[in-house]
Amino acid sequence: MRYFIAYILTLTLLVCCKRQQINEFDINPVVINQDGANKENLKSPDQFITLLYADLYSTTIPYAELKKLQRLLESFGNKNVIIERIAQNMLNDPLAQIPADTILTAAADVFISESYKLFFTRNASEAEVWYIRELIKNNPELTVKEIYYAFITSEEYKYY
Amino acid sequence: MERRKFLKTAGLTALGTIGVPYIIPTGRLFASTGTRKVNHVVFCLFAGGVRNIEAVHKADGNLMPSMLSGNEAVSGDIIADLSTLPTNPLQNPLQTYGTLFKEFRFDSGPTGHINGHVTAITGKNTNNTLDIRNRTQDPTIFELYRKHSNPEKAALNSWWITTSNNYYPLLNHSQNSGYGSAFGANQLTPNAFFNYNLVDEIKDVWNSTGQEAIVDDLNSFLNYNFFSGNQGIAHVKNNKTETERLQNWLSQMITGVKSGAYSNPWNIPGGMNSDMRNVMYAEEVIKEFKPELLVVNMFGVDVAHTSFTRYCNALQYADWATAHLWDTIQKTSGMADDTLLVVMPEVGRNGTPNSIVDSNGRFALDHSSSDPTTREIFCMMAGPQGVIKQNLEISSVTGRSVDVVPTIADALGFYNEVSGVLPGTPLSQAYF
Repeated sequence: MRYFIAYILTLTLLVCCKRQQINEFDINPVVINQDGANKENLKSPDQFITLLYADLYSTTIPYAELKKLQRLLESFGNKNVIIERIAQNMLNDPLAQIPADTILTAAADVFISESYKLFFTRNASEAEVWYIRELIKNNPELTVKEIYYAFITSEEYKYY
Repeated sequence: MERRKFLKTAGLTALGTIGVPYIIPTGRLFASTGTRKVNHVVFCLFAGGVRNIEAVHKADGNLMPSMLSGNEAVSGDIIADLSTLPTNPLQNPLQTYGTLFKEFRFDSGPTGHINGHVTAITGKNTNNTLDIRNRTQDPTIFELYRKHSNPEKAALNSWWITTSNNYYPLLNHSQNSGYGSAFGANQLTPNAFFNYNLVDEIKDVWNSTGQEAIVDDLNSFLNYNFFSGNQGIAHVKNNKTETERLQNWLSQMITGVKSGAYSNPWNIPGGMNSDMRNVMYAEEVIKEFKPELLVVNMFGVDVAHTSFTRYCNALQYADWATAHLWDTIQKTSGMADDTLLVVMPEVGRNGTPNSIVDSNGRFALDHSSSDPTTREIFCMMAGPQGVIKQNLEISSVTGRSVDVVPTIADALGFYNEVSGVLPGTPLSQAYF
């Protein structure tokens, strides 16, 4: 019986006691994560389209265009399939603001870093820059459009 | 921050605990080895709210001549306002190819369209707490099928074709931690998607440069670096081969839409309504992918809220489209004589009309949980001879809407794996 009471008391203490953190300004601490691990929220169709358009055209998407693309994305379960097609059409649009392919030889590191900031809103790690730099170096036919396409269709781009 | 993390962890643990019975509902770790009755199931949700009185009781004559046997004359006061549709696509009414449960019941839960759909697709009753903005907690028939079939089935085997983007697309998978998008169905809302102007946004513009493998490598690298375990799979996915098939099919369909091939291929005088178009696109999926499980819904009859005559007209269109669906299944190699078609409204409609009168002096019909007539529906199962009893009519109160999911599971050979978590039972009366 004594053991039982001691067990119950210990259990109660364990359950009831927790460390108190005082946050008098009610501000959520911000953790900056290099690898994007803090992106846990899936972008909704309208968020995805709005951000994609802004990233590629450097301007706000017209409302009618947003509604059209949102409707397409909502109507198809496999979003990747539609994202691929929307991305291809936008990247093929002469109005999209895409750097010339010469940047891949002239300033690959800058291009890679800027791409990470543009699409993933974070800095690229050294390993990431190295891998993509090598990929560009070993595949001189690779274009900016194709690299952008890989970023846009990546999983990380679907989250914020 | 610590407290949030604790709450999150506790929540996930609780969800996991709730999810355990779904992960291994029969205590087995591996998928089923049950015997299949058929290799394909098409479930047609004859939805929008259909009252037995106008459907199988034929109070205004046989408004569903392509599905139901009988030549009862349509009431004279409404007949002039009903469309004249082409003759039945089938040689005989659909009911002759299977079993009709005339007195089926939606026996529990609010009688809303979404509740009815959720019950039909999860095999679980709902209540007033159903969150109509989010995916269900209970796994859908698609997830049960994909997870418990042996071997596990790829996404291209299961499809959910829905008439509208208003909530219904979310029924292609649940948020259940043991199932979810990894086991979800491909979903399509064709009436919204295959729009003449809209498809220009996703036309083929990407000419191959021979760098596809390199781009794939880069994409894999970006993905490999991202996943931290915090994120679930965002959407239903198909493997690479399936995705290519899907992309090729989309390209064909877009070409067809632009050429007008899907404007009115059934030659319906006055044009096809949205129910017909939805079924027509479901048929395109059937012809291309021969899915093992496809669910398609209709909704046109819900016009009954404001017009009884138009409701009767919509019933005719839904009837004709369902018969056409069966005809297409039977003309599709690989699915003919190996498919179970289940047809069921999600809910019925009130016995007592509302106050809206149409031009023929008929009162409109709502669907309220307090009216017992709203719970009266029918269910039809058509299938191969020797598997499904042919031309059988069951007039006593038999079967509930929660029985459809177990019936599909039974037909596809995995019922034993999921029976422990489903309240219904297979509709064995229809089987030999």
